[in-house]
Amino acid sequence: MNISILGISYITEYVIEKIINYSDNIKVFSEKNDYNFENKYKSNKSINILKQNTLEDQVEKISKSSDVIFLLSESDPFNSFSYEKIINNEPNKKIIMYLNDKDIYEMYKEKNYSVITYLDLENYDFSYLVKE
Amino acid sequence: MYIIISGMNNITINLAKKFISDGNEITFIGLDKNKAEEIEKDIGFVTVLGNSYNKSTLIEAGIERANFFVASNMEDEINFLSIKLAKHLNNEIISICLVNKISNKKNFSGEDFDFALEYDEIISDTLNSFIANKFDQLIYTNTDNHTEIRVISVGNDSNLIGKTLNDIDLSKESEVIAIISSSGSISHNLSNTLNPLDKIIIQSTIIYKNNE
Repeated sequence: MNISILGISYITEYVIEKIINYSDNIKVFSEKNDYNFENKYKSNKSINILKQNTLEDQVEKISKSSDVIFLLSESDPFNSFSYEKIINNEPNKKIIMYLNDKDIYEMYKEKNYSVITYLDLENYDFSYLVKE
Repeated sequence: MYIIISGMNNITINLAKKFISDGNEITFIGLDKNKAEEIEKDIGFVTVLGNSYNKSTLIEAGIERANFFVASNMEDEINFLSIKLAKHLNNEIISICLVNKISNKKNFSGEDFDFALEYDEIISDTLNSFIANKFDQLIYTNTDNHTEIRVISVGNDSNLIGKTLNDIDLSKESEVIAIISSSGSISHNLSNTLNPLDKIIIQSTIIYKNNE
């Protein structure tokens, strides 16, 4: 299963630990370098960290080559707009979006989007998404 | 009309000047404190500092009573989320969104996006005319005798210009009370032709549906 993670935020490591046993092909895309993160995973062959200068322009292309997408950047506007871009092209794509702002999270939750926030991370089961 | 503009830049400042000259009320939302001070000195109206995709900022700006929300930031993703939240807080509001990248335009097509305009359309008179032509405001409702009073504005490009009230297809339950010209004079001579920025005050009987 090909899993793509867009953005490195403080929950990216948390999510990786939850899904790493289900995939040997996890790509992490980011516009910035996070050396602590890169050092932690550089010896792990299942995880490939890719720097993209204009990630917003690559979202649809990355999605098409992925089975599951995690939108985990620190930017709520980036995550929510990327979600829209993906579902407009692939309405049935398996996708999870992280939202930092509680009000925005609740708005999307009401609309039945697949969203997570720091408040409910521990209660969220990612395995159903990433199991083959 | 009350218009909230997200994004403090030369485009929106020029737009705001036009909106105000047409009698609208404006509030800006943005993060640039220096720009906010410059705006207040220049045209003297209200700015709210903050992100327009933040609920508290939108409420402080008066989103719940606003008629229009214009998202005109230079980043599409900020305009996108700002309009989503603005519509969530006030589903009656009419949203107008600047689309910076043409390739993104298809993503502004959902029910939350009433109008997605490109840069050329924002800086032209398209937006200003659109808002001026949409002025239809309920100002009074009397539930005892089932009447309401509305104000309809004649926009700069309105198809009402040059017509008399007899030419307008008002419902039989409606009655024109007066016409206020752009200079502020009030006329009860309903055979006069309408001019840009005239305001028509109408009293109507409310027709309730059977199940109401």
